[in-house]
Amino acid sequence: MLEITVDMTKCQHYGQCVFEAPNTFRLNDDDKLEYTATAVDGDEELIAAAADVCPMQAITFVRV
Amino acid sequence: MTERILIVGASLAGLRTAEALRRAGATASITVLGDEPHLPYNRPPLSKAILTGADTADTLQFPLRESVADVDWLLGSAAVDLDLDRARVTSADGTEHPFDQLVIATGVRARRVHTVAGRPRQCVIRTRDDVDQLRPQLQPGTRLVIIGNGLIGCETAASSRGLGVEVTVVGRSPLALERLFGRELAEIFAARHRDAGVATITAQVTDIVDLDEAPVQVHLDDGTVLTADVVVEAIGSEPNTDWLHGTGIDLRDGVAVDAGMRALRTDGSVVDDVFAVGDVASAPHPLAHGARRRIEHWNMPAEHAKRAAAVMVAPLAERDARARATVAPVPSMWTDQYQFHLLSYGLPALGDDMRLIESNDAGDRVYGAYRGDDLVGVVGLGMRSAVLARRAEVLHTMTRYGATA
Repeated sequence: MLEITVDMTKCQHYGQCVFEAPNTFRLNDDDKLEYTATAVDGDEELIAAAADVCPMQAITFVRV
Repeated sequence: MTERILIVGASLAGLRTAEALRRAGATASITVLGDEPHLPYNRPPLSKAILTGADTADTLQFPLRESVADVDWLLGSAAVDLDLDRARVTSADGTEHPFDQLVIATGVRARRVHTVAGRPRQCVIRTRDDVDQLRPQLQPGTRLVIIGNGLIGCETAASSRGLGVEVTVVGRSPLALERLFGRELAEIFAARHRDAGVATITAQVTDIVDLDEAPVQVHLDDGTVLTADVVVEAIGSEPNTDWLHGTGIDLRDGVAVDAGMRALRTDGSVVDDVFAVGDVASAPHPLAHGARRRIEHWNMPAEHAKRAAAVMVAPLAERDARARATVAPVPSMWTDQYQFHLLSYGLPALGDDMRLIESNDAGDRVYGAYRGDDLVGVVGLGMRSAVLARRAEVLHTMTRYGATA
């Protein structure tokens, strides 16, 4: 399983991650980022892609 | 058989290329040569969170994924020569680096016209070392003159005001950022800078006098002389292609490449096994109707890297076919100034009409840059979902342009 953390002090809700991993990241009605803190191992490429495209580099994840 | 891949440029573009090559199944050894002493790091925060002190430079390094664990990083040594006949790159320390495939990812450097490198009070902002030079000089009351009112100049002004620095911005265009964001958004940003106490002057710099034991004097073409404790020159960039002179590669604006990121000679022919990615690469883009242009947006290197890797791992006979497909990443950029966080897709500067698409009572607004009826860019202050939704429309324009290019 993957454990995902978004540093909300860095996040500016640019939403780039939403394009890469829409099942994990979404913008809510107030345009703020919301995310699911865990993902299955099979989604690692998607989560890594989301972390890579984050302009603030606010997304990290670990395998647990 | 490709046994040795050499990537020149230990940058975001270099890192993403190494990753993409492994993902595409490349089994060759990968060596990355970099002029800076650092592993690939994220540059955008240099003029923002690093300058304000919200973050420290050691947080900038990109994570190195397992896929690139076997990459050999040769740092702190710039490439100084490419010998295409012998397939070798020479670095500053005289070492020769042979390759079967070469990726040029040397990016750009800050352009210097009035300032001189090596003078402590004459700064630019492109690298960690640049900011290490500037940051300690920004103290409350420091008189900072910024030459250039583009994105880096404006971000530097905003970040410096937050530190209590006295900021004067000298720009050639009367309204900063107008070309990028359109008049109305540019006016909103200009008002914010004014409210924050940033002085702006529309003029050209003619000379900088920097004598020891005296403040720096910045002379302007209207006769004004500004007194500064430190100067930042932020007037754009220049591609790092000096080491490629004499190779026959088309270097009119960075490295000319085809849609497969393959380097082109001045006669338009492809240089087999030499590729370019990132800020240095001038690739055909659908928004420009297939014309080549360098797009220094942060998301482009990753897209270039994927395309280059797909072509690099293909047998020579199949590369033409893979390089023919249009490479069409939607350029994206952002800026953070004061509490303003602006997001943009496409190339708004290519539009001839900036129209308000949506706005709300909070002062958020989204503009579309149109060329005729075609949306070629979108710019939004706040209202993220609306901006993100318009990205698809920009992509649609690109698809149509690509189909007719």
